[in-house]
Amino acid sequence: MVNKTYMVARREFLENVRTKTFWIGILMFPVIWAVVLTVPSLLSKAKSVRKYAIVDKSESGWFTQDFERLTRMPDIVKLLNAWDDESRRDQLPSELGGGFFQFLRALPEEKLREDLPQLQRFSEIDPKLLDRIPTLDEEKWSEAKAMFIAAFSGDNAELNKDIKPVRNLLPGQLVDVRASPEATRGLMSWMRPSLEKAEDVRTFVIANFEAMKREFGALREWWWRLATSKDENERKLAQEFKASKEAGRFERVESTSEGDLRSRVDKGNLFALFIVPEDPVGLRPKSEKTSTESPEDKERSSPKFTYVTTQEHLADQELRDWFQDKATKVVRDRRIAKLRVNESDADWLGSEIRFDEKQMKGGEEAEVSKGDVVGQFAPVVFVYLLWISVFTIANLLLTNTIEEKSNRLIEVLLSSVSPLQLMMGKILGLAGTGLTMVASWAFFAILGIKLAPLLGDNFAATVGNWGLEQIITNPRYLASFLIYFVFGYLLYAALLVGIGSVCNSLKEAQNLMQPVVLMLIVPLLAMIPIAQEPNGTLAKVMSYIPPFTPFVMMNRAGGPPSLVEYGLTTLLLIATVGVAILFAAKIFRIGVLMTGKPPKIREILSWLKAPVGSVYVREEQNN
Amino acid sequence: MDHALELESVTKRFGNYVAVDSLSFQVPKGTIFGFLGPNGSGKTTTMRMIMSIFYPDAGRITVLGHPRSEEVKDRLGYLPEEKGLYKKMKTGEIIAYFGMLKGLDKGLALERARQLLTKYGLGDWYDKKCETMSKGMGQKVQLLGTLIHDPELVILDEPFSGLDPVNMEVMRDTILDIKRQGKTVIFSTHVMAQAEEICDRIFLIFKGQKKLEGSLSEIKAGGPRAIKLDYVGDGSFLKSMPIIDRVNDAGQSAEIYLRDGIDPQAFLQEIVGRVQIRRFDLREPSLHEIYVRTVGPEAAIVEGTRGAAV
Repeated sequence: MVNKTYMVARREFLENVRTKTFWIGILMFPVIWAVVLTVPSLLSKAKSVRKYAIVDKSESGWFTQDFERLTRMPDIVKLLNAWDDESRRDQLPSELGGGFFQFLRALPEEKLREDLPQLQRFSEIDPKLLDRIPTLDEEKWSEAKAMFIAAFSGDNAELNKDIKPVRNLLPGQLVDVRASPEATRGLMSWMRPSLEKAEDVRTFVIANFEAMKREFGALREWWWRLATSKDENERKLAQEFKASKEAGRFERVESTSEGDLRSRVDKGNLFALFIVPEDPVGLRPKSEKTSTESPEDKERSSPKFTYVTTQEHLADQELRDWFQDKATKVVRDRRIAKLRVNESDADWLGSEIRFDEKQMKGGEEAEVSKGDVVGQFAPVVFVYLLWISVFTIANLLLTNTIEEKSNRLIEVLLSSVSPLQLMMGKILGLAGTGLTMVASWAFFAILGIKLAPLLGDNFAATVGNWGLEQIITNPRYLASFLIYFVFGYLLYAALLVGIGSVCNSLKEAQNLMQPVVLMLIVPLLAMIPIAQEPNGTLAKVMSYIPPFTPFVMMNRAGGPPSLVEYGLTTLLLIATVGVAILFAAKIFRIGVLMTGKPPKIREILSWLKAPVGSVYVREEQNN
Repeated sequence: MDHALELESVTKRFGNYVAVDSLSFQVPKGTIFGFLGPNGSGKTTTMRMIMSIFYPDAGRITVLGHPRSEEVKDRLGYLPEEKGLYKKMKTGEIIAYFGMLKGLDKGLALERARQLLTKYGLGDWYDKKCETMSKGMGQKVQLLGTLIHDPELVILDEPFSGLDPVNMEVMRDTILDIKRQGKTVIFSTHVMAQAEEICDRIFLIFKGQKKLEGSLSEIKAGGPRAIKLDYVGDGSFLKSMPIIDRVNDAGQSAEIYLRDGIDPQAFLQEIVGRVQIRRFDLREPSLHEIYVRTVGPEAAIVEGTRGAAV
């Protein structure tokens, strides 16, 4: 008898799994996700370079000069290549021969182009972050030092793994800088002498950081000096080493007259025009008489800059935000200088309070990593997947039942198998279909993580930081996903197979489906609130409503709920599934042979009183 | 035990409606059993009860010697009136699937499906999807699905409906073939000519009740004698002749039932000269006549009020 159920299940499974649409549907899912994740960044790369102009009304155009100094960088790769040419060396700044650049020069050009932005970013990191490096006691430091030295002399593949404990000492932003293995190796050998001397991890990191920052800074200064030089030859030299595009996406065009620029914006030749006010700083003496140098006597104001663009560009604020950020820095530096505030005091004044994020784990305090935060939101994704899979499969079951019923195949089937076998066969066959779907997704997810490095180190690093692999292979998530998929599916399958059996067409079914769909929407709406408060009242109450249990409990996995809660809600769910299947079987065995108008709810309820299975059914409504 | 099927005062109600009313009959093994009756008289319901798709409210059904047909489901074959197939399945697969549901193992089922398709001239369709077949072919496939497991008792609900003459012949041969193998066939129809041709026994059901039962000859023996008249000319006067009880006039051929006590010779004398007689024949009544006389004018009313078969 079980054998027949198996055969029905097998047929249902094969019929679904064999269709192309099923696999296309499965494939579409990761494809859609990939598109959602990658297209925005690809699109922004594909955006044409936005040209802008600055009309500078500040005194002798100091603003533009400072702005250029801040935003423009020489092409370091060109400079390094030129340094290799001995005949030109005397034209170039001596910093290029420094220790840091020495190792850079050893890299092949393509690697260099890849790694430079990362290293530069590192040198621009807020120095305040360095304060967060803990000081280690001697014993720990010598341990870490040994580890570093071992890692530096080890082979590349082992590099990251070996220094992981040490890396964990550093603030995330410092560690996030990823360089190619070649660059990392070079960097390591450059740092090695300072490592051996250093008394603490802090002094070690700071020393190297400062060196890097100094060498980059010197280069920038040298280039800027040449670019603004009165000597034509020097300007030419600067031009030679000019990086082609600022930030790659924005390009400043030379200013002509304001009117001309405005009309160019109007015609669309220029993305935007920035007009710098006469006194961007906004610090003036209170009156002519009291023109002392004392800052207390000065009036503060915030003069407005003007941003001119066309309506079509109003939605694209990227250039505006970028300019605002840089211009703010320029103005801020001026204000600091004018108020004669010490630069470090100014930094200190402007600094935000900071957190050391910790989490309590089994009585112990631990660091919070990005992966932990992502992990906390991972259940939301799982709920979403659970929802889609349950809904898709239950819907397949519904259409499938209605099809069999409308072409009267059901009668042939029922002459060979009992209604209960038929129903269970269908439910189980589709459960298999659903599991195939879920397994395929899991496969794609793992494949995606493994293939991520092919999409570029940057991408891989970001993805790696999220700790997706740990999340996907987290037994708590996996087990609860599987268990809740199975029971959630069974519950909704029972409901829908019951509905399917009393309807003759999909149209009729859609009416009866509405309450089920409404019910299914609730856990979706509650998804985010529950993820934020996994052990809140809402979450707790909803856990005990069986149709919501699978979604809500999955949702709370980041909490996680107590074992008692897991146990109670799951028992309640299983009991409900049992009752639902029993009721569905009763409705199914009567409804499935019925033609004509779908029965009224009252009629259906009266069927539920009849015993199920091979016991005689005393009364059946027809037509 | 020589009955393939036995029904003992079987009753089935749907709500207040009595679909089958205390029905009893036996089907001897190795016979072709015609199950006749107008639409809505309970044929399909009875068949479904035999197949244990429905359960009777009262009475007993013994199939192949077992009180519960569920236990012998694998030895029965059932072809329902409305025929459907899984559109996306291949012809061979679906026949084999029906066989497997009856307990054949996969290899054997596929093998037999191929044999049957070849035997019925559909060998090329083994690998084709059902949706590509014509209606007639689909019906054949479903019949093969009914027979694949060599059932001992075959129940066919309206097997002839919707078939063209050639396929009708195929169906008839199939039924006779099953009988020749010593197995039993029960089929329902309302085309009397077919029943007359091949049935060993007849059962007439009307409004859920038994009206007639017996072998073809028994049933016919109980009916009035008929005159078969083939003629040329205008036969419209036949209907108004006082000595005639009933006429089934087909224009060139008529079946005539005289009033009690009237001599056929007298009738012959009366019509000589009015039409040109090509054949004048005294014979047993047709099944059609017996059917009409039994079910009578009520049938029309029933058909009007209850549409689809239950």
